[in-house]
Amino acid sequence: MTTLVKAWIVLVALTLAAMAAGAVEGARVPAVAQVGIVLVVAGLKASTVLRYFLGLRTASSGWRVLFALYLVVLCGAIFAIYAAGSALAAYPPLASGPMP
Amino acid sequence: MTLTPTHRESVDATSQTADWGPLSGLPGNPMIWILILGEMAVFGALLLGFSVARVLDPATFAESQLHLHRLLGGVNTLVLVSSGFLVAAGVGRRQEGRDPRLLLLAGMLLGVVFLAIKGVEYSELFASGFDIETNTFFRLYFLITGFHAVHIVLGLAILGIVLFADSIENLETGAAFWHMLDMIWVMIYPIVYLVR
Repeated sequence: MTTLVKAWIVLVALTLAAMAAGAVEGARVPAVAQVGIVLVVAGLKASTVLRYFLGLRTASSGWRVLFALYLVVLCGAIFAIYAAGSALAAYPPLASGPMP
Repeated sequence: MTLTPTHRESVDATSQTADWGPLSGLPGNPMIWILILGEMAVFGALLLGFSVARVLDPATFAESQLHLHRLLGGVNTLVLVSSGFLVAAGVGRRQEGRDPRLLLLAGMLLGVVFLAIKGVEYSELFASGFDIETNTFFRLYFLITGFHAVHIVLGLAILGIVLFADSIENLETGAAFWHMLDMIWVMIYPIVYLVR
């Protein structure tokens, strides 16, 4: 089996897992943890596309670091935004209360 | 300005011998990578903007997201990663000196299927009374997915061109743009459809 076929199987499997997780109604895990898991899976899929479909695994280490940084920073920033949002929602006085 | 044969040769020679610095180390024509890096920045900003807007109005976003067709969004992810696989396999065949066209055409066909499914999603939303003016969620949903779909049309056009001008560099160039769209969609799908 070629590397390309393996990469495709990984992408399909991760997508099916994400679809199954998305189809489950009701929170089994805390919302922030769910966001974190979804973002990690998305980042792994994006990284698989870049490395194996685009062939970046043979590019220079500088490019590989740059694209990895893009995914880590994007997913990390989105996670931080959601985490901050849920922290504010859990403590509404912090979000809307009067300043002391 | 029309290019005379002499001009054209000098342009070709320039693009082949020009020093593109670090961009020269990437597959395909370095010019496409300037576009790809720009698109990654734009879609990254859109997804960050979507996340900030969601935190500012979680109730509207949670309620609106229930109207999205999660199954079709997931099916479209499977369609696009499979299309990316076929295009990558096509480039691999060309690098081995074999005919890549059947694989490329199959990959393009899946690109058309992606657009058709997106059309079904849009028409269902329109029929239910949701459009770009409904609220911030739908404004961003249509903006992000519509912008991506327009790029899919452009990607199909590029693949259609390199199907005929099928030098290895051209194929790598068209495929690089296509895989960028693939990568962007695997980020859009979970953030817009799945994260609650």
